[in-house]
Order: sequence, then structure tokens, then C-alpha cells
Amino acid sequence: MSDGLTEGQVAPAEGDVPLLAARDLWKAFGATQALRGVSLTIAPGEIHGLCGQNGAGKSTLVKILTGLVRPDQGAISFQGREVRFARPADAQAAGIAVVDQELSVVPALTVAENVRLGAQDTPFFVRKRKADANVTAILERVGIGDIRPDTRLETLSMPLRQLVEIARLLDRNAQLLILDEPTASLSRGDSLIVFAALRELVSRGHSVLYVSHRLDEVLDLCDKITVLRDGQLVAMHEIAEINHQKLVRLIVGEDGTRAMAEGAANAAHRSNRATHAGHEREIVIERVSLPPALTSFSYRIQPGEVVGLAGQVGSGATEILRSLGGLEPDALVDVTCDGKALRLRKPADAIAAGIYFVSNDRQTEGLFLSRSIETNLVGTRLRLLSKLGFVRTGKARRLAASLAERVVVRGARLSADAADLSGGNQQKVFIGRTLDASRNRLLLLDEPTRGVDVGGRAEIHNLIRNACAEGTSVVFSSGESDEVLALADTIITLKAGEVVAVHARAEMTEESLLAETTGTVGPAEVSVGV
Amino acid sequence: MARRSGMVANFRADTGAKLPAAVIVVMIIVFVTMAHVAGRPITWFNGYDIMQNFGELGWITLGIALSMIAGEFDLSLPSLYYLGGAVAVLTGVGHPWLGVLAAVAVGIVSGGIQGAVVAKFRMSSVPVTLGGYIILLGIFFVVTGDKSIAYSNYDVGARLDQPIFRVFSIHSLIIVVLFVVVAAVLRYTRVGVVVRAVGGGRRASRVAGVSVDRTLIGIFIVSAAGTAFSGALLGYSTSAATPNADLSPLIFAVTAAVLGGVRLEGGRGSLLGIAIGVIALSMLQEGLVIINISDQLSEMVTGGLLAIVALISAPDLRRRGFPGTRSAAVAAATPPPP
Amino acid sequence: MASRSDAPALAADDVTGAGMHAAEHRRPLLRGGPAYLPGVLAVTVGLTILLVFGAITPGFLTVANGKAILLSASIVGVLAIGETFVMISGSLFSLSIAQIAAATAMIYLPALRYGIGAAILIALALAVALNAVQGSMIGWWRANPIIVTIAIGSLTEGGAMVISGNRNIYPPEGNTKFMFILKNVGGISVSTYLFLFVGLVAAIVMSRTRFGMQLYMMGDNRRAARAAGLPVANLTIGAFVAAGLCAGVAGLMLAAISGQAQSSLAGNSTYDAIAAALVGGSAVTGGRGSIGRTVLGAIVIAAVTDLALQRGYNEGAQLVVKGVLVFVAVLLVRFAGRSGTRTA
Repeated sequence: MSDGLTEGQVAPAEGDVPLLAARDLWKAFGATQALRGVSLTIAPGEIHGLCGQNGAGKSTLVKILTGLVRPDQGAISFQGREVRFARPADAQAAGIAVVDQELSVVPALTVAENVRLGAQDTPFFVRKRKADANVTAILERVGIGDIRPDTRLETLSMPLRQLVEIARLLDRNAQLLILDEPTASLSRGDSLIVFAALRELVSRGHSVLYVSHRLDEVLDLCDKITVLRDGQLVAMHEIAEINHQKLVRLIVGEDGTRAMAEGAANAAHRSNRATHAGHEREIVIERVSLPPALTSFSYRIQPGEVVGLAGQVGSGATEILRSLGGLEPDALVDVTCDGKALRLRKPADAIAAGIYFVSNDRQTEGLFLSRSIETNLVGTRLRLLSKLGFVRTGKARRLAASLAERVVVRGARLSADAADLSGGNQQKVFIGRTLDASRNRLLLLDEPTRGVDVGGRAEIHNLIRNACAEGTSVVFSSGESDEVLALADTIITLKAGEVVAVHARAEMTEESLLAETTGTVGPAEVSVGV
Repeated sequence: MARRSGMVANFRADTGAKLPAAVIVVMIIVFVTMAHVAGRPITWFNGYDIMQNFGELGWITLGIALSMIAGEFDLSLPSLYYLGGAVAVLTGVGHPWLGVLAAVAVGIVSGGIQGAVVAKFRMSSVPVTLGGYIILLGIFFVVTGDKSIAYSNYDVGARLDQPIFRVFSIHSLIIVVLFVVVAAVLRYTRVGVVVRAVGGGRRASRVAGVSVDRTLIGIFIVSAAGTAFSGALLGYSTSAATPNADLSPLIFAVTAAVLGGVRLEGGRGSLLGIAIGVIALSMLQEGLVIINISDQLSEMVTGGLLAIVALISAPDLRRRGFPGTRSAAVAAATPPPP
Repeated sequence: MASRSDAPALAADDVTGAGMHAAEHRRPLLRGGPAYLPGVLAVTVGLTILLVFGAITPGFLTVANGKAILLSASIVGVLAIGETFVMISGSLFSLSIAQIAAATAMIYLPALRYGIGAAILIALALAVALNAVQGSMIGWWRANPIIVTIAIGSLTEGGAMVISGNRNIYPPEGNTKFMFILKNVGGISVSTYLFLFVGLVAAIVMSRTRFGMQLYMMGDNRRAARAAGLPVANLTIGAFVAAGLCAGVAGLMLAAISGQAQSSLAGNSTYDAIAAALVGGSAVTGGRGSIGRTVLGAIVIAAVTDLALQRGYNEGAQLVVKGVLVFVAVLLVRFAGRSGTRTA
């Protein structure tokens, strides 16, 4: 890969007009300076990666390029012409389109109807045969020409739905596709399908701006990478000039790097510790099963142990956590603790047993956004704070304050709405409300740092480690191998609803993790305990 | 698999279509039983009555069903129904068409304003249409001055309701034609795709550039205009407008819609199913008339049926069964929710 | 490598059906300001209009008229407090509250022969039972509240008519003790005191008790409440039971005031009650509202009705005015409210 191109890609000739040239963009929202003189150049037929923490300016940049927001200063030229977008329709008409994680397709409609959705030039009476032929041609451009246009979208898998969405954008003559965290809900296998489609597209002269936190994907896919930090352009590198370590350092800056290094050192330190005492205090998961997504899972957890569940979509990790948390009434859950069988039919049962579940979706299944931060922190333990049904407000407030301090949510009034917090702070509040040393037996964290930037992630990892130090067991699932490797004492790899293997942290590397969860290594026998 | 097109194939393929099919069979049985019990023979007149009911309440059911398919709920339709009748009766003495037009105009304005507020301001349709319901009800009382208004042009009513082919009349045929037209539009035109898109994926449609707002406003206007129109026809048929506006059209419409396979969550529903729901429910009401029960009991039966309908369409009913028990069959059969 | 579940979370702006939208999509159009702002705004606007028109209507801005307004606000006010419980808990509203109040009155009067205490208990028990049924359907199985309450309301009304043979119900001969509600203490009717008392108790329950705070949380995000272990089904039933108690008390008051009862006793009060709650800034979607502001809203509605009456508006015109008020209040709550996420 000497010239940074993958096979089949058309090399832009020297002196070619770039597809997109954004120069010196500045944007402020009120007192916050979101972009400071950022420039970006994308050539035709290029996949360009855009990386940076939350708040670095990536989304502002994308919004400017798609016409949602107008820059205070700076210029954009597209296909050689200066452009000014007054609204999103202008950007789309020019040929810039964006795809984000939330799929914008209608499952109840067919593939053809989805591809033609919103097109201005459809005839009043739907003419099927002609429309179908056109649709198939477009589907071919993303490599799915073999899907019948009258297939109902709801019968297709997630990555295919995403490709149909891309097909729709191509139908509107998109030249530059901006993909914003497109693989957030996809497994590795599914992501590969999308990547193949992107390479196909790029070989026909389209360009892609790939915005993602998933550094391994960015390094795998992109020709060039631009890094933003604090609204500024930190670096733009060809793929050959950069590796994972350098990229992380660029994104996080000097302070951040130190915090992460500390975190990693702590992890190494902890995995050298002796196993915790007392088999009587272990939590014995005899069996968890939730067909068809989860065939069977069992394990014995020691107090203070951190178990990382590593797996892809459909691995069953989320189902394990939800079942143990009492959220799946249809699951078979057989758990014993202190010799007593636990009843885990509903969340209240789990909480009574000291098992606390933190969902991967804090907005729809976690926080009460129009309630105050204080309510969110203490609202789920009101029983302890009330007498005869009346809440003791002073006690509640003090508890909230101490929790906020503990989870490092500073600078916000406790009476402010939870909706005002950043994603990272919201996640910390969400986790924080479950923390109660006297009652926590087991914390179940489903993707605890989803949508959280690097700094917040480090803080949350510290929270988890501190909880363990107090004897709480933790089982978490994560899609980021570095997170699994940083946090877990024990790593359990899952695939397709079954356990592949159980490992101590010291035995695992990124490659072996990937190999087991993608099935390159066959499922080992289910092992119980470490 | 052979290519099938048209409403019927759609209907068969849709699992939600099983419900209306089952319902109509049940209702036919119930109806025949009732006639038997009352010792009265089933005559063509019963069929006529049923189709008249279809004509009277068919469109308001369609209107409510359309708003439900689009994910909304138009509470103002029942009072618009009566208002349409009052307006038509008042203005259509000399020229019946004028009365109908006036009623439809009122409907367009009402649907337009409420639809615009719901769409442009991104509001829940429930509180908005509740306000609309109250306002239209008030206008109705103002317009009728709290008295019955007689419509002197009896001719129109008579002609409207004259039996054709024994069971139909101009009144019911107009509504049947309207149903067919709407069904065709939904199935074969661009508009239909958009309506289904807005109901099945609001955000996705917006992102894709569909003018969601205009579609919603259009749905509100069409259902309101049609409701006012049927109200006008009703006023002519009964040759009067009485100041008696209650929720019974709404009860009928929601019951018929859900029995016809429309889901409360939105996105699903077929016109044939809705039509079947209306006919089935009309059949039930006709049966109640035959066995000659009091009005209050009849009201209780429809209320009870609505309660059952509420239960049927309750999302958690299949999942949770009854409190304290756990249906093993349900547990095994139900896939885990996302 | 990813382990997220297959289906995406409910996307912003998607509809969950029957007019309800996923909470996320509503972006407030006016940022900033405390959460109670829309309610305060709505009430302020209402009061201003009242004062302006009141000033030009003779006899309106007098103490005597004020007491009359408070009196007529009592019944609607108690009903509105009941509706507020339902609204805050996220179950939209109850369209059966008037019929249940009437049915309560219809059972209260004959039961007076067992003594006033027993009669009150029996009557309230009926109201609570009818509402508990609705609460169960809505809480356990998530049936649509509008449809359930219309259905039960219709059943109750029909049932009451059938049982009473469609005649008026009268108290036992010569029994007038129950009419104590009409008495005046310190120049103000007992029913006004009762209304304010119910308001006070309800306000304390909503703001100081665990039950109240949990209702607010559940109304804001039912799914999150369930995941956090809150007893959502029981809370819903509890909210409806509270509403049932309010309906029952209103029925008792109605029986006392009218001296007799029939199924249409409470007339169109349901809409007045909902209007009062909405004008008080409660959001139909749940998680927001306050008993205190509902009390103010009821007074505003009663005042508006009185004003309209004094200016010669007939029943229809009054309804139009109230409908417009509801419309405006709902818009205000939407615009100045903060329900939902602040998007980036």
C-alpha cells in the first residue's frame, strides 16, 4: 500500500481539483467557540477519516458541510465551485449527503420505495417496472444489486438497511457521503459489508468522509485522517504516516494521554492481584438463557471481580446483562447467592438482591431528562430516604451532592435538568445512581462508555475500579477491545448466544479477542470460573 | 411466487389482516343468532340498514383510522361531524350542494389549522385536537342555538336514502366510492407511499426530504373534510340537526378501526380492513336493534366492546398475561423485546 | 467488535402511536428558564385577560363574585386535581371522571340511610374501584388511556342509567345532613374549603412523598422507571386511584349541591377539568405539572366561565372560549417547556 490506495481504487491524478475544499472555518455558538479556523480537503475517490473527542468540533464541521449551520468565517468549495449553503436542501442538491447511526429508512416500505423516498421526480402514479429497473441499477453501485426491489425492508438485516439508505442518497446524486458513526450498531461482520460497499462506491469516483470513534476501523478504511481537538485542526495525515498509538495521542493531547496511561497501569496492577477470598460470597450464575438470542451462559463471580463480556451483535452479551438485571421476564435465570436462589423476574427483584443494571441507552432507558440532576441521582433509592412515605429532602440533597462529587459531575447545579448535561456527565449520573457500597452486590453495565469521550471514559473506568475495590462485582459488555482489556480481570468471549471461552486478562490480546468473537476459533467448552 | 397486486393480495399477506377476517365471521354468526333469538327473519331491509350505517359512520371511521395510521389521533372529529350537519342544514335549504360545500369548507379549515399546529410545532395531536374538540363543540352549540333545527328540504333526504339494489342508497354508495378512491390513491400513487412512510417512519421520512408536515396536514384535512361531509349527509338524511353531540361516533370509529386491523401504534392498516370493521360493527348494532334492547343497554354493549378492543390492542397483554401468572406458552413463543 | 442489541432504540421523532411521540424529539423553542415557566406563563396570561375583561364588566371584580367563582371552581377543581395525577403519571387523561363522579353521587344518596360516614365510604369505594379497573388495564397492559377511559365512562353511564331505571335518585326522606357542604364558614362555602383542602393534600403527596416523586419520574420516562425498578404498574393504578378519590369527592359535593343525582349530573365537567389542568401547565405527555398550578387553572377556568356568562355568552360560546384557552395553554407548554433532550 505504498500510495495509500487499496486495490481497485482509482488514483486521483496530480493537480486534480479536490472534491471538497473547506478553508479556515470558524463557528461560535454563543460563548462557545466550536471551530477555530479548520480546513479540510477531500479528493475525489478518497475515504477521509475524521477523528476527535466529543466537543472537538466534528459534529459542527459536519453540520456546516451539510448546510445545517452556517460558518461565521471561512469558505467552502465543492467540485471546484465556491458554495454557500443556506439550508440542508442546498447541500443535498449540491451532492453532499450524510448518514448517521440512526437509520433513516422506513421498515414498512419496500426497498424500492425507500430508495425513491423523498425524490421530487416520481410520477404521480407509481409505475413499478420502470422504477424497479432504476432502483436495481443503484443497488448495484453499493454491491447489493441482487436484492429484489419489492422486498419489504423489515425483512433485511441492519447493514443491508443501511446500504439501502446509502442507495437512496445515491439516487439523489450524492457525490460526497458523510458517514457519522455508521457502524455504532453493527457487528464486525456487518461493518465489513458496509466497508466493501464504501470501497465500491469510492472506486466509482464518489468520496466518503468517515467520522468515527472506532480508531481501528478508521485506520483500516481511510486514505487520510484529519484529527480535531478543541475546535482546531491538530493534524492531517496520510494513512501510511500514522498508527493507533499516534492517533490516540493526537486526539487526546498530552494531559489525556497521561490519564489513560495511569488507567492502564492500574489495570495491569489489579490483574496481578490474588483472587478475592470467600467462595461463600461468590455469585453463582447456574444458567441464564433467553432463546433465541442467548442459548446458555453460566459463571461464578467473585466479589470485586470485573468480568468483561466481549462479543458482537447477536453475541448475547446484552441479553445476559438484561436477564440478570430482571428486565427480561421471558428469560430463564438461575442464580444463587449465599446459597439462596435469587428470584429475578423484574428489575425490582434484582435491585432487592443488590444487582444493579445500567442500560446501554441512557436516554430512553436510563435518565429522567426533564427531572433535576438531584432526582436522577437519588430518585431510585427513595425508600431509604423516606419515612412513612415522606421523603426527607435534606437527606436526599446531601446524598445527591456526595454522589455528584463521587462521580465527578461538577459545575452543574443539582437542581438543573438532567437534559442539560453532556453525554459523558449523563452517563456518570446514570452509573452514579446505582452506586451504594452497602447494597451493591453486582453491577451490570451494558456498554458503560457508549457515546462518551476519552476523558469521560477514563473517569468512568475509575468509578468502576473504585466500586470493585469495595467488593462489588462488575460484569460489563463492551464493543471496544481496548476497554475490555483495560478494565476486565476475566474476559468471556461470546458468539451467537454462546460462550466461546473464558480467559484471565493476562492471556488475552486484541487479536485473540477478535479471533474468538468473530468465530475464527471454534467455541470452546463452557468453563465455569477462572 | 406469482406476482399479485391489488388490495386483496396486500390484505392476505398482511398478518394484521387476520383480525378483520375473523371479526366479520364472528359478527355474521352473532347477527344471525340474534335474529334467530328474536324470532325475526333476516330481510333485505337489515342489509339496507347496515349499509346506511356504513354511509353514516364509514367516513369518520376512515378519518380516525387515517390519523391513527399516521401515528396521530384526531379527537376533534366527533364534534366536527355534528357541526357539519348543522352547517349543512342551515345553509343548504335552497341549494343542498351549497350546504354540503359549506360543511366541507368548515372541515377543511378545522383540519388545516389543527394539522398545521401538530405538524409545524411538532406537538402531540392529543391535546391539540382536544382543544379543537371543545372549540368545535362550542361552535356547534352556538350555531344551533341549543334548539333543533329542522331541514325543510325533505326531498333531498328522501332521495339520498332511497334504496338502490335493495341494500344500497345514494348515501351509502357515495361513501363506498370514496373508500375505493382513497384505497386506490394509497396503493397506486406517490401520495400513498408518502402517507405510509410518515406513519411507519416519521423521522426517516423527514430526513429523506419527504414533506412530512404537508402530508400530515393533508391527512388531517382529508379526514376532517370527509367527516364534515358525512355529517352534512346525515343532517339531510334525518332532516334535522339536534343539539345532541356526544362521543358515540368516536366510540364507533375507534372500535371499528381496531377491529379492522388498524393498530393504535400507527403505521399499519388497510382500507379493506377498515371497511370490514365498519360493516361488522354495523351488523352488531343492527342485531341489537333486532333483539330490541334499550338504548342504554346498547350503549353499554358498545362501551364494553370498546373496552375489549382496548384490551386487544394493549401492547403488553400478550407478554404479561394476567398478574401473578405466567403463561408458559407465551413465554416460549414471544421473542425477547429489543 | 460490537455487542449492541439489534434493534435501534426508539429514534427521535418517531411516533409511538395514537398521537404520542417518543420524548426525545421535542426541542424547546425557548431555551432557558426554569421548568415551571410555561405553567406560570399560562396562568399569568389567563389572569391578565381576566383582569382586563373583568374590569370592563360590571359586577365581575367584586368580592361576592369572587366567592361565587371560587364556589363554582370547587367541583371542577377537585376533578382537575384528579386529572393532574393521571397526566403527571404519563397516562394522558381520564375521560370517565365525570361519569364516575355522577355514579358516586347516585350511590351516595341512597346509602345515607346507613349513616353519613358509611355512605361516604361506600361512595368513595365505588369511585376508587372503577378507577382501579382502568388503572389496571392501563398500568398492567398499557392499554390506550383515552380508549379505556371512554369505554369505562360509557359503561358506567349506561350502567347507572339502567340501574336507576333512568330516574333521578333522591336521598332518604328528610335526610339533609349531607348538605353541610352548602354551609358557609366565615363567609366562604365549605365546598371551597374542601376544594382547597384536597388541593393541599394532593400537593403534599406529589411534592413530598415517595409516591409523588415516583409518579413524576414514571411520567417523564416510563421505560427508564421500569428499568430502575420502580413499580410502574402499581404507580399507574395509584395515580388512577387518586383520581378516583377526587372524582368521588366531587360526586359527594355534587350530590350535596343538587340534592339529587342522575347520570348526567356532572355534565361536561371532564373537559373543564382537563382544561384546568392544561391551563395550569401540566403536560399531557407526562412528567410535568403541579397541583398548585392546577388549582389556579381551575379558578381561571371558573372565572372565565363566569365572565363569559356575565357578558351574555351562551353555553356554546363559553365552550369556545375554554377551547381556545386550552389551545393556547397547550402551545405555551410546548414552546416554553423543556420536555425532552437538548440536542447538540
